[in-house]
Amino acid sequence: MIISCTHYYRTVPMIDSQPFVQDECAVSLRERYAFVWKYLKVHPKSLFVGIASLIALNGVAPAIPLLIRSGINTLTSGRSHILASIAWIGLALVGVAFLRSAFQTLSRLNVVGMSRHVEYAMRKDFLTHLFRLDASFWGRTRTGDVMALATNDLNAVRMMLGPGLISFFESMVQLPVAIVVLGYSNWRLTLAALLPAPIAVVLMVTFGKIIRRRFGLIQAQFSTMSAAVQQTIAGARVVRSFVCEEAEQHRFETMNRSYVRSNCILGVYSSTFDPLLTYVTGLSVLIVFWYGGALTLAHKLTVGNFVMFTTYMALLAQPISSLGRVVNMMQRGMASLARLQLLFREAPAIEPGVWLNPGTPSDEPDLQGARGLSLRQVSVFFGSHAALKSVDLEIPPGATVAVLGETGSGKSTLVKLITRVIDPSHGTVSLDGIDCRDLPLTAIRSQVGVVPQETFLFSLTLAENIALGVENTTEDEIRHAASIAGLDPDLAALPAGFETIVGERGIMLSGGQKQRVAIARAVLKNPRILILDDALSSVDSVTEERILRHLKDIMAERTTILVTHRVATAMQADTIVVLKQGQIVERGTHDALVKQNGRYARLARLQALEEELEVL
Amino acid sequence: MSAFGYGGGWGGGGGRGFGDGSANIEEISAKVRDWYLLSRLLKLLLPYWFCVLFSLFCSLASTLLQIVNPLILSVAIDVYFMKHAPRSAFLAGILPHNSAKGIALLSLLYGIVLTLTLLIDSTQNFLAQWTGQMAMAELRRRLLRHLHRLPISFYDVTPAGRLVTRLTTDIEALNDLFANGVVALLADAITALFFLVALFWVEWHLAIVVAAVIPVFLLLIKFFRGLITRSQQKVRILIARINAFIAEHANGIYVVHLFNRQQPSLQTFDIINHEHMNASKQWVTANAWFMPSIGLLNTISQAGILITGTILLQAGLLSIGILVAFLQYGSKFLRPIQDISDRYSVLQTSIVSAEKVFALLDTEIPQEMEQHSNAKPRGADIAFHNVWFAYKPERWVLNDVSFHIRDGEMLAIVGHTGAGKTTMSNLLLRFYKPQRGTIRIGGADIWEMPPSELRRQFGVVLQDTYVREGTILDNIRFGSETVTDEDALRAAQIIGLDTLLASLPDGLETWVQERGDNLSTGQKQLIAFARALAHNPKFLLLDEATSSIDVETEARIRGAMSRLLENRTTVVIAHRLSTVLQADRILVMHKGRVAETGGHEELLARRGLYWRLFQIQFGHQLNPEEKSPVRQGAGDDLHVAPSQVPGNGYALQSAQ
Repeated sequence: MIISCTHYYRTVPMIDSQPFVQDECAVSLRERYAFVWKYLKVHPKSLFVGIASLIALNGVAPAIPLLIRSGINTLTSGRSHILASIAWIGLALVGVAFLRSAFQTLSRLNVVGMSRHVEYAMRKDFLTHLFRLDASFWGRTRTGDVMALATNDLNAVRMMLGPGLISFFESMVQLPVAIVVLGYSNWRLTLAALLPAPIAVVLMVTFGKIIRRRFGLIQAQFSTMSAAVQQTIAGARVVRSFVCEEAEQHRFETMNRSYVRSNCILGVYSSTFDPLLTYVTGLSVLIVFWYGGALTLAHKLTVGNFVMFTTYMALLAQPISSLGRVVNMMQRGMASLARLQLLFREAPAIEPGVWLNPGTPSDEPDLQGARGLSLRQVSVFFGSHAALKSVDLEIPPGATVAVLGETGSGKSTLVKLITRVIDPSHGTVSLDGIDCRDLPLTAIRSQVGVVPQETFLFSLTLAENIALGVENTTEDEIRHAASIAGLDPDLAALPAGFETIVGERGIMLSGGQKQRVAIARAVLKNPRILILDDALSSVDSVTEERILRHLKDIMAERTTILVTHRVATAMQADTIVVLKQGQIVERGTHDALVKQNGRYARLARLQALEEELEVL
Repeated sequence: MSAFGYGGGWGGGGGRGFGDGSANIEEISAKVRDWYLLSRLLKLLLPYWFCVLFSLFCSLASTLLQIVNPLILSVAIDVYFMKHAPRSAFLAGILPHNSAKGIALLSLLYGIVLTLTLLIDSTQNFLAQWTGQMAMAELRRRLLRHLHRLPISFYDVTPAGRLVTRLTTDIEALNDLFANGVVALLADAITALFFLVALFWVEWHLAIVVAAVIPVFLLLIKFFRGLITRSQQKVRILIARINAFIAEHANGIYVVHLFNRQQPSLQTFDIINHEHMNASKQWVTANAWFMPSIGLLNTISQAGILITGTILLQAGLLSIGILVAFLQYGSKFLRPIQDISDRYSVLQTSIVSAEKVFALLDTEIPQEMEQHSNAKPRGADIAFHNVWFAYKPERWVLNDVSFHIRDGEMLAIVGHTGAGKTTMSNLLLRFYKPQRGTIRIGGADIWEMPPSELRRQFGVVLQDTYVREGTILDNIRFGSETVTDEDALRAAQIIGLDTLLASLPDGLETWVQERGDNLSTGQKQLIAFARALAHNPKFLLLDEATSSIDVETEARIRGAMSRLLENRTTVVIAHRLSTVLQADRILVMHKGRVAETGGHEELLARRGLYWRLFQIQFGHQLNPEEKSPVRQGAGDDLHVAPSQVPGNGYALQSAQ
C-alpha cells in the first residue's frame, strides 16, 4: 500500500516530536489487562454465561467416550440380553450430545458475540481518538501504520477474546478432566499416551512463530514488489521511450520469482503444519494401541477401556492443539493490545474542544457578519527554524488581503495559524479581539472556510463532497455553490452528475476539477472568513478569472485571505502583503506596490506580458 | 479515433458499488460468468496438469488410509482381544498366532499408516499451494506484459494505484481460488464418494446407518450455508468499507478537522461499524448453531451404529472390531462434504478479484497503435506535415503544424503554457496518433515503423526526470540490452556525473531512493542526460525541467547538453535561456500553431510573441543571482497545468 499521510499536516515540521514508534514494553501487563477489562466489564452477562457454558461444555464432553466404553464393555461381557442396556446407553449418548451442543451454542453466542462487541467499541474509540489527534501526530505518522493498528492489531485482540478464550477453556478444562478420567482407569497408560502432548504444544508454538515470521517477510516482499510495479507504471513513458519493456519485465520477473520462492518456503511449513499435528496426536493412539494392547492381552485393561482410550485420544487432539493456539493468540493479542494502548496515549497539542461532547452547549460568541483578524508580533518556530518572524497583520472585518511569496516564505504557516492547526510560538492570533487560544477549535473552524492547494476528496458522491461542511442542505444550494466554483461544464461530463462517486474508489478528477470542488465546498459552508490557499493553481487563467468573478460577491461580505502568485488575483485585494523568509517585506494596495517598484511590481510587469500573450 | 479510445478526462471504468445487482437474471448471468472465470483460472493450471493429477491421486490415497486406519484397530480387537477368527480377508494372511507379536505388528502397521498419511497430506497441501503460486506468478507476468503494451492514453485516464492493486492485491486474493478452487472441490467430491463406497465394501449394514445421516446433513447445510455465506460476505464487504473509511479519513484528516466533520463522520462510521458488528454476530450465530448441530448429528449416528451394531452382533453378522471402526468412521465421513460447502462460499467471494484482473487483462489494445510495416529511416531529419491533434474530440491542441528539422540541427521549441509543446514529443514517440497529417523521420513515416525501432532512434529526457530505486548506474543503463555497463560509465563521465558524485561515498554505485528522494533536481537531470547519451541515439528529444537549480549545476547541465548534442538532430522544449541561445533555430508555438520561426536575434528584433515570451521566461535568467518571487511565480506558471495535458494525470494514487 502506498498511502502517504495527509500532506497538509505533513508540511508542518513538528517541534520536539518523535516519529510514531511503538515500544510495546512501555505498557505493563497490568495496564493491558486494565485496558481490556474496561471493554469486557460492560458485558457481565455474556461474560458469565459464556464462561459458565464453556466450563460446562468441556465438563460434559468426556461423558461420550465413557458411554462408549460402557457400551463396548456391555457388548464384550458375553451376556445375552444386552439390547435394552445398549439402547439406554445410546439414548444417554444422544442426551449428552444434546447438552454438549447446547452449551457449545451458548458459549459461542456469548463469548464470540462479546468479542465482536468489544471489537466494535474499540474501533469506535479508535477512530474517535484519531479525530482528536492533530497535526502534531499526523505530521509524523504514515497512514499505513494507523491502518495496521486498525486492521491487524484490532483483529488480534478480537481473536484473543473470542476464539482465544474458547481454546483456553477447551484445553484448561478438557485436559485435566481427561487425565482424571483416563488416569482413574489406568494411570500408567494415561501418562504414556500423553507423552506426545508436549511435543504437539511445542510444535504449535514454534511453527506458529516460524509461519508468522515467514509471513512477515512475504508481506515485506509484497510491498517491495508493489512499490516496484508502482514505479514501473509511473514511469511508463520513460520505459517506452527507451524501449525497456522487456528489461522491465525481466526485472519484475526476478522479484516475481523470489516472491514465489518465499511463498513456497512458507508453503512447506504451512502445508505440513496440520498433518504434523495430526501425526503427533496420532502417536498417542499408537502408544495406546501398542502398550494398551499389551495390557488388554494381559487382562489388565478391558476391551471397553481400550476402545475408550483410542477414542479419547482422538478427541484430545483438539484441546492439545488448543493449548498451542492459546499461546499464539495470547502472544499476538497482548502485543497488539499494547500497540493500541500506545496510540490511545497519544495526545493532541491543541485540544479539539466541544465536538467530543455534542450535548454540552458551545460558548461560541454569536456574531453576525464578517470577522476581523489580527496577528500581533507572531513568530512560529519549528525547532530552530523560524517559519514566521514577528509578523503584524491587521485584517478588518470584510477586508480582503492577498499574500504573495515564494515556496517556504511562510504563506502556508500563516494559513495554519488562522485555522489554528498550529499555535504561534510567540505573539497572538486573535479573532474579533479574542485570542484564538481561548476559542474552541470548532468555533474557529466553523467561522473559517479554507480552500487548500491540494484537495482531498472522499469516496462519496460529488454532492456529498461539496456538502461536507454543512449539516442540512438542499440540492439547489449545492447546485448554486457548484456553479459559483465553475463546476458546471465538468458536471455535464460526469456520468451521474452530482451523484457520481468521486475520490479513490470513484472517478478520477483532474487537479483543476478537485480545486473547483474545494471552492464549492467552502462556498456552501458559508464561512465568515474565507481563505483561498493558492487554490486556483491548477486551473487555467480564463477559468480562474471566471471563478473569481463569481466569488466577488461572496468575498465582499466576508473577510478574505488570498494566497496566490498571480497578480491578477492579488489585485482584487484591499491590501497585498509580500512574504519573504517569514517576514512581510512589502505591504500596500496594488497601486502603491506598483509605484514602490519592488518585487511585486516586477511580478506585475511580467504577468501583464503574459496576459498580452493570451490575447494574441 | 484511437486517441479518444479511453474516454475523455473523466476516466473510464469507474468504481463499482457494493452488493448491487440482485435481480434474478443478473444472478444467472453471474453464475455463467463465475464458471467462465473459473475455467480461465483452470487454464492457468494446465502446465501443471501432472501436479494437479498427482494431488488428486494423493487425496484418494489419503482417503484409503483413513479407512484402513480404524480397520487395523478392529483386527486387533477381533483377532487378539476377542479371539475370533478374522471375518474379512483384511490382513488375514500375515497375522501371526502369537497375540503379543500380532499386536506389535498391527501397531507397526498403524505407525506406518500414520506416517504415510503425514507424507501424503503434506505433499498434497504443498502441491496445491505450489501450483497456485505458479499460476499467480504467471498471471502477474501476463498482466505486466499487457500493461507494457497498453497505449499511454490508457495510463492518462487510469490511476496508477488501481493498476498496482490489480497486479498485486487482486491477484493475491486469487490464492483462495487456487487453494480452494475447482481442484480442491473435485478432490473433496472424490474423497466423499470413495469413502462411501469403501464403507459399503467393509460392512454394508452399518454403512446404511452412516449414509442415513447424509440427507439430514445436507438439509442442515442447505439451511445454514446460505445464512453463513451471506453473513460472511456481508462481513467481508463491511470490513473492507470500514478499513477504506478509516484510511480515507486518515488521509483527509485535515479536511475532517477544518470542516468540523468529526461528529457527522463518526455517525456515518458508527452505522457501518454497527452493521459490521450485526453482520458478524449473524455469522457467529449461524456458526454457533451449525457446528454443534453437526456434532449432535455425529453422536446420534454413533448411537445408531451402536444399537444397530448390537443387533447385528447378536445375529452374528458383525464383529465388535468392525463396530468400533464404524464408530470412528462416522465423523470423518462428513468432513469432505462439509469442506465442499465451505469452499463454495470462499469461491463466491474471491471470484470478484478474478473478474477485475481478467477485465484488465482483456482491455483491448487498439490495433493501429502497434501497426507498422518495415519502413526504415534514411538520414536524420524530422518533418511534421500539416499535423492536427486533439486529446478530446474537436479540442485541437495542435493546429496544422508543419516544420522541418535538418540532419544535425538543433531546434528549440518555446511557447506559453498550453501551446502544445509537450504534445509534439508525445506524437513524435508514437504515444498518440495525430488525427491528420504525417510525421517523418529520415523520410520514413513514423507510423510505418515498428514503435520500438522508432523509439530506439531517440534519446529522451522528460520534463519531470524519472529515476527509480537502484544504483545510479542502473538508472543510466535502465536495463537496456544495447547498453553495457561500460557505456553507462562512459556516459556518466562525459556528462560529468562522476565528478559531481565524487563527494558521495559510493559514487556511481550510490543507491537512488524511490522517486530519487535523496538526489537534487539537478543531479536527477544529469542522470537523465547520461541515460540518453548512453543509449547513443540518432535523435535527441529534451523536455527541459522548469524548476530552478543552482548556478553550478546549471553550468554543468549546459556543458553536458553541448556534449549530448554533438552530431545529433535535436528537439528541445526549452525553458532555459542558455538552451535557446545554443539552438540553431527557434520555433515559437502559440495556441497549437507555429507562430514564429527563426534565430534568437532575428526573432527578438521582430518584437512579436518571442520577444514577450523571452522576457517572461528567460528575462530573469540574465541575472541568475537574483532569486525573487518573480522567478518563482513565473516559473510556477510555466508548469503545464495537469487539467490540460493528460500526461500529468498519473500522480501517485494510493493502492486500495
